[in-house]
Amino acid sequence: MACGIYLHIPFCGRRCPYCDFNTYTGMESLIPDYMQAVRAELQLHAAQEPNPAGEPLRSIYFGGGTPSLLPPNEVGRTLESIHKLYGIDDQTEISFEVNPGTVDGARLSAYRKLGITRLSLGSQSFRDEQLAVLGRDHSVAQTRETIEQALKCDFRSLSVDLMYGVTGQQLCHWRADLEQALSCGAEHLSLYNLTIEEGTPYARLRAEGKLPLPNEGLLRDMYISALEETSARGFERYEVSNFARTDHSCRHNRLYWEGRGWLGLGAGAHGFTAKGGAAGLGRRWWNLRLPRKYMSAVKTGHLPWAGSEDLDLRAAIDEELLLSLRTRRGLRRERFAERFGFDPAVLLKNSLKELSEEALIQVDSQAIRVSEGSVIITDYAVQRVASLFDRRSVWAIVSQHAEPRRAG
Amino acid sequence: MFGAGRRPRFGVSSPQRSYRLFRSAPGSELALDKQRHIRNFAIIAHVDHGKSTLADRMLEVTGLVGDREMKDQYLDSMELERERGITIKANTVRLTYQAKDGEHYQLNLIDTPGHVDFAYEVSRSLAACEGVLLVVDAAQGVEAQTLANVYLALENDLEMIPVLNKVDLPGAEPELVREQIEDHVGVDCSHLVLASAKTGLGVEECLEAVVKQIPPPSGVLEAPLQVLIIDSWYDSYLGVVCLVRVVHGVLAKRQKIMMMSTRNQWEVSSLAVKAPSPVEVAELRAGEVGLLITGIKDIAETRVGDTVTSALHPCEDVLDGFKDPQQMVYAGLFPIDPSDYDALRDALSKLALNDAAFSWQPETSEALGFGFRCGFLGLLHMEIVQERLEREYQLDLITTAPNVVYQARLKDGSEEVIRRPSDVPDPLKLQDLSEPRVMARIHVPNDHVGSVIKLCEEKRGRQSGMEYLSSTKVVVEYDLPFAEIVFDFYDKLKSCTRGYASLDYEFTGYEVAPLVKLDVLVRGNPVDALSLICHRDRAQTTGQKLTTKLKEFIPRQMYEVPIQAAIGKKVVARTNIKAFRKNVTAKCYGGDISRKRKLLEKQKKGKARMKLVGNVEIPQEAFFAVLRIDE
Repeated sequence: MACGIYLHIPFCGRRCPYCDFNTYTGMESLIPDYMQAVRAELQLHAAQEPNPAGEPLRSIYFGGGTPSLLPPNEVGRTLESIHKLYGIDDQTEISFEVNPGTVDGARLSAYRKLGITRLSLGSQSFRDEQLAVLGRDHSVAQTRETIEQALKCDFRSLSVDLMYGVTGQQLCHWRADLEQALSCGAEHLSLYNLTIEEGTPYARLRAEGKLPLPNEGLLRDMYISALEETSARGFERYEVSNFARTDHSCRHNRLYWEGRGWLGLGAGAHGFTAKGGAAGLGRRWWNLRLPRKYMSAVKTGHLPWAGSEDLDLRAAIDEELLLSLRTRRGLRRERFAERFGFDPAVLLKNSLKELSEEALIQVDSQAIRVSEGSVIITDYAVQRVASLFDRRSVWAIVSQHAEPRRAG
Repeated sequence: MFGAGRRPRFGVSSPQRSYRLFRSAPGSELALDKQRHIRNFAIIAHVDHGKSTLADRMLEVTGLVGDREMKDQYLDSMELERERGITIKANTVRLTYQAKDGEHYQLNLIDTPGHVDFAYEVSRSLAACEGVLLVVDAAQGVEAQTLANVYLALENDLEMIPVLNKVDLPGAEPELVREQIEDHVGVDCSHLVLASAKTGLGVEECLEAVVKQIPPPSGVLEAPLQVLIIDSWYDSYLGVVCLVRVVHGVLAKRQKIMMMSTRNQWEVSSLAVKAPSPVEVAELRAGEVGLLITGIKDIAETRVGDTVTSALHPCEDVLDGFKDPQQMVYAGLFPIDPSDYDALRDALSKLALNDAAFSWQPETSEALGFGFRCGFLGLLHMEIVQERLEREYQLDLITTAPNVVYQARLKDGSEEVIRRPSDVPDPLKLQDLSEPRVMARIHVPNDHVGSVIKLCEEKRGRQSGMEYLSSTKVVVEYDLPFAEIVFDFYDKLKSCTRGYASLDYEFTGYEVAPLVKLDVLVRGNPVDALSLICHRDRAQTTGQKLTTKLKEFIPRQMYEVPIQAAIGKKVVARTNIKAFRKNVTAKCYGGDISRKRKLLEKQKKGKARMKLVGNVEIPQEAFFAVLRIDE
């Protein structure tokens, strides 16, 4: 049963040089047909689900690309379809990604009226030089204008994105950016370390030595100041890069991290069927990436899948660790035991104690989590915990516990 | 070896899997009881000369294994043997063969290992035989282990039938190889069999030669029972199983027997022969080879080489047993999880039941805690034991770099055996250190002789002989320190001769050498398990190479990790592993998960085999770094 829906809107006015998302420029004319395909895809999923209208969805997320290129009527028709097939109620979080400068107050107000509850703004920086380095299509003034309009529309939550670790960025720049974001009225911040992704123009520049980036020590200082500033201003770090005031964390992202199922609609979208797959431990699937191919596949009446992967026990456990340990809640012992048939804090008691003594993790009666001081080396902590399961003695027991559950 | 390698996984019991113990004997066919119709023989060969394939063909020709059941290396039942394409344990199978003279013969074929590490197993198997098929690759010719095996056969006074295998290969030179065998190995080739185990050519001729040329066993049926234990192993369903050769008398089911060395008495609970799956028989008579099962649980009771006799009418003399196997290299085995110590001890004691050739005793390392110092026949043997411990007993182990056994003479005149570097006595007390040396025989085509000599000289060797086997093939003899050849010598030899050289060696004795102990300090703390013994003149270079290699293998940690190599208090090399400052993926959303998981799989690889030493994670590879410093 899907708890949420992700809709991918792969259109952008301009492609940023660091971005490796599935996005296309100059294809905006496809939008009406594309959205029709998305709704058709939704129908295909609904036809497969035994009881699509069981419980209302917890979350719907319009991501991209640039969803704010969508005319409100397309958004409205799509939400209507979703409501009809899956159910939306006042608890459903409906997020919408917006790029500054692509919308005016009227457009935002229209989105709000259609039921959008949460706006996520691709602001990236409050410094024009840095926006230029990042190849962004907007100015700081436009960001401010969009924020002002959004606040007027009274969305339930407003989120802004910031990026650190950018060429030429100093610690003082980052601190100033943080200050702006913290005081702009947004209840949610996503603070990302710029990552050089393969195949992007940035990766090419980097390979040619033309993209100097801050060293690890500076990145560390930037992240630490983010942790300190957000905490001082009443934002909780509920995941490595996500910070929110009380009750403003993003439900949609939490679906991903908590291993819940969701439908991914649109070109290149990924979905997850939580109890699907051969082992009943979940199936990940993803759609054709090219919008035209995606659209014509949907027309044939088949799910436009490009591929899928059934999780086996090892993969499912690795993912659970990878995702849950990024969050402040951490790995919920009870939920883990329900899913895999054993409580890792019991099975790995001694080894986890060693990791606790190294101050990498903390274990309490509810959860295993990365300790506050080690959030900055979360990947390392995850590797250490995950490798415990690779021990033969441990794996022999783990697979034994999981076996009867899978059979049942 | 039935049973071995099929041990149930730790804690997993599977009631559906019934152990198909024995087929009932199909009667007369297996009851060929006339001693003159029995032939006990082995196949000996240099590695890769086609021994196991020839055995496979014999099984097919005699109809023992149908096409459908046939898989390559049929007699290698251990998972590891198949994977590595080698025979580790000797194996036996009874074939029934109707010879051209019209009579049925019982042929007991004993398959033997080919690797130099397992020469010990070969010599035991040969004690059960009257003859051997000496298989030589018709293209490669006589190789080092051909000769080594021939010596073993001669020691046991066995009839030898030379077989030229792979004669169908384009590079085969049967005439030349025949000459080599006659002139240099000294084996009569008048009844040479030309064969191709691959195509089946000559397989029948081999069987005929076995019948005609190998004498039947000479035991006396009426004499008091004398049975030689060739091998014994523990099977979790049957208890101890012995591979035996009845020398005199008749061994029967329900008979009361006595082990000559312990004088303990037991009852024969069943007897079987492998054909090739175990088939129960009522008795084993003089000259026969088979399996003896008594219900004994303690393998120490069935010492390999011991004589079994009748409790009622015991024989007077014990049979010649076997020399104890010589452990040539030692390494420490430590559980990664200290709480696995008992499990490791149990696993070692169980494994020892199937492998008399390794020794083990408790060891304590300051860095690695409680573990065991184990002695092995060689490096391959060590790898196999380690792998079996991990696979069959689900243990995660750290193995320290293997070392040879040194001898220390102290100033007070006493002597000590040094089985690990950290045992080297204090320099103030130490008179000198001696290292073991070997005589190595290297067979090599003459155009590669130069590089072989160069390699041996680099390895502190002293040439002691050189002989031409033919106009193109040379045997080079070198006196070498064993420590120099035990690790990567064979690989280097192969690569500098394009794979054409073959090697055999024998231990010759100890010799005083200027050796020093090189210690490694990680974050200022000496890690005893990383210490090594090396030649004084090489200590500095080795120290530099080792610290550099360690830097490669020890991952970055939360703090800076200096690594130093030192002789006594003098640091001879150092390097630094920088700390990581930040290590966290920025984004992980719905579409990233599979990719991030695959990344995690890659990153954590090797981390499961990692030991925390003074807060520094040291992976298994680091402990073996010394073996790879020349890469």
